[in-house]
Amino acid sequence: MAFYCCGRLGNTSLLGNLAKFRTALGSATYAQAAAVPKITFKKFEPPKEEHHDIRNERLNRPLSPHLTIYKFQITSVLSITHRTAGIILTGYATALGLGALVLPHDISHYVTMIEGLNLSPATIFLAKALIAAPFGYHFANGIRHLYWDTAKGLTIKEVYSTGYAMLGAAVAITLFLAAL
Amino acid sequence: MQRSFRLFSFINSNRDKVCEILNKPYSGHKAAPTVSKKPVDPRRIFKVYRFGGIASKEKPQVMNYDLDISTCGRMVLDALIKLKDMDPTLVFRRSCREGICGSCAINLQGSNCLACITAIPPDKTINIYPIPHMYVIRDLVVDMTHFFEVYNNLRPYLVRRDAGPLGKFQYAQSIQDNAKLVGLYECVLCACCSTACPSYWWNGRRFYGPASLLHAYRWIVDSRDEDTEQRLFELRDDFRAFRCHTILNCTLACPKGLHPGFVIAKLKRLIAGLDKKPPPEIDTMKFSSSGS
Repeated sequence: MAFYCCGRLGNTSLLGNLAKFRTALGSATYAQAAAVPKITFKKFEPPKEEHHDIRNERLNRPLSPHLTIYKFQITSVLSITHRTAGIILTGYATALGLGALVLPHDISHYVTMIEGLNLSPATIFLAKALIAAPFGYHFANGIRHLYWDTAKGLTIKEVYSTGYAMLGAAVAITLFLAAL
Repeated sequence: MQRSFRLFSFINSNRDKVCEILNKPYSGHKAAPTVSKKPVDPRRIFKVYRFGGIASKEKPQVMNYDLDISTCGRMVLDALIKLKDMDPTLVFRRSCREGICGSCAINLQGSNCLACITAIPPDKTINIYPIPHMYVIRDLVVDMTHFFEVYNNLRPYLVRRDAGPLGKFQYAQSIQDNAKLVGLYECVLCACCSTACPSYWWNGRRFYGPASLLHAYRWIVDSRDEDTEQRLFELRDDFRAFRCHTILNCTLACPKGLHPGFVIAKLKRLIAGLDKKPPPEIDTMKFSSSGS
């Protein structure tokens, strides 16, 4: 503002010569410094679509720990046991199916073979219980799952109580099958 | 602990019926942590997951901090702030300090919670990790972009067939219809439930996760929303809703006491067509003529 006025004054009398002198000397660099800073414009480019995993892999970000740190809770433990029991039962079905297909003898031959081992009744009961355990558990928990599919029995209290009831039923079914 | 809420009392003919709905507690139940009678030593060890960020080129590690919790407030967030005083390089998200913003979700002693409303547990060693199976940006801060992207994709707003003049009048909703939203609207999108779900860990990209499914149900069951068919059609998929195997880790993790597991079961029935959304109890356009 003052500088501008000086310029105005410079149009008249001898103060003007002074102003013109100063103007000639420093105005170029001073004006540039006092003026608007240099702005460069770039055309807007929307961010490239990148899949969440690909972007994070590219950035080398680690994954926060999950299985190694998460608490084992009754909900998740019973659920994964249900899945494991199911896989074991699938193994049984596959073994029986493949066995029936490829093994040379009748099933009665293999039953006789096991009888020939002369194991104590306790050992036989234990073995039968171990084999029947996945079935008992998966059956009992399966009923619980079907009950959940009706959107009932899902409060935490009920999940816990049906969970314990299911474990009892699983043991009962296992012992029943082992006693056969 | 299950508490019943009397939101307001009023005098009319269906008072008892409505009060019954409003008195219904949250279906989620959090077992109160057992408080031991003998005083615990306030000097605790905090084991905190640290990662300097991708520019630092260091590997993630767990650092031990000694803190006397009698010098800080009761909540884990207070302890974290005190730890930040000791070590300014510790980084975590926080905002409201009252459990309403959902920023400070962490994994504490193996379960997810909000740091600002969770009291420091009476254990000697306290393990603090970021919420599981998420890409870590720095220390306890994780990349939530995909979580919010999925939430935005389910159109979390009212959709009406004829979008008339917006804001001119209120969409009418009966008290019972509004009560259906209790336990659904309180979700703060903290991601505690979704990151507690093992199915979300393994199928995080295609499975929506309990938080988004809770919100999907919230918009489907809202009597004012008219796009139910399209919303259910979008969820009719092998992955979006049906990767839920009723593991129920989500309900145990929810810091607000909500019940995503139950809500997802109801949602699955709606998607399958076993249940139908009831029509609104009162005409939604009731106030359109009078206006205000």
